[in-house]
Amino acid sequence: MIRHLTTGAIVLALLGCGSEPPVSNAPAPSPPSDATPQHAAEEALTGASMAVAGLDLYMHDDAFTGQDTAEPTFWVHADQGELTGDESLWTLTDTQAVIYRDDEDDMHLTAKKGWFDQVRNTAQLSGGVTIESGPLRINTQRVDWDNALGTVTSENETELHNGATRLTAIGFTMSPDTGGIHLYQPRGTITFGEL
Amino acid sequence: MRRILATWIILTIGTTALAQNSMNTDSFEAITVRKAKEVELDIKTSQITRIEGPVDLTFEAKEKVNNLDLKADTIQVRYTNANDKAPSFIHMEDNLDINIQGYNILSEKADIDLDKGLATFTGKTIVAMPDTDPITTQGMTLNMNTNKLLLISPNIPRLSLNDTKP
Repeated sequence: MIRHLTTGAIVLALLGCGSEPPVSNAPAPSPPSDATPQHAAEEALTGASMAVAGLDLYMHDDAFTGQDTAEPTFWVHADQGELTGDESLWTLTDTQAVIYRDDEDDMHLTAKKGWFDQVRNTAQLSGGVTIESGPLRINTQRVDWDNALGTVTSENETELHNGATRLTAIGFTMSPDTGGIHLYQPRGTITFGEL
Repeated sequence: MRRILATWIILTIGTTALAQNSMNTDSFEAITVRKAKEVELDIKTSQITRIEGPVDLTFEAKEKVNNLDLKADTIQVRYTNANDKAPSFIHMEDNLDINIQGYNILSEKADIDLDKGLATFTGKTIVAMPDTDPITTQGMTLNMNTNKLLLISPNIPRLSLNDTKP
């Protein structure tokens, strides 16, 4: 499905009662005049970044009109998120994501880290990435989601399990909507009826 | 006009690897991939939509004697119906090296109909069988259900295929 750039609907869902407050939800204030050199260095590093605990970010397809009830194409939750200086890129820590599919099991992803580009509508998850959809399970170290193309790609060592099917590959490209997955230099067993 | 004499010989050779049941698509349950450039799978239909070679793989049969060991530069698998679990047809080209039911076959091109148990080889084909010299032909059909070979223009070795004495 052709998707095009849509506004990334950003929900800064702060964790509920009893949870950690956001580290910061506003541009960093100007340093006091008596700021120590260490303080100044920290400010220089963080720049105008904004850190949030419990961050949810969404992407939609080209039919999205801004209504909150519309199902997204991609959702990612991060226990910690930080908006970088250019204000289009979020860095994420301890992430869970969902790729929504029409009439099929959604794909659930987990990863240690990631980033979310709300201008290009792309995202990357890395560090112990798992993808699950029904009996399908994929393990790899990094995946990229392109919302316009509707594809998940990886250029890292990949393990694919589905029932008795066991494959390894040096990478893959998957189109969750069409159900197609290209495995590069695959090895292993493809059991008929269990892909 | 030059006349081309085509010789057709049908051989029934009793190898040790004869199918106990009629071969069909249900005779196979998996593919073991040792080498392939790319494989494209459809996780909605559980079908293999493309294999890009060179490949080295085995179609695993429920009866191990019917395993198909296949090497080729290019390969295509096709299904009869959209909902079929197992492919019914294999097409291979270039640098084929195939082991089927005790035969080692080198050929230029092959079409294997798994539903009918027929393997058709075209172009220069060399088939080696246990305890015999290799036979070079211009084509060959192997009926995997009956173990009959149909050889086209074969260059038969001087010794009888079944003669164990010089």
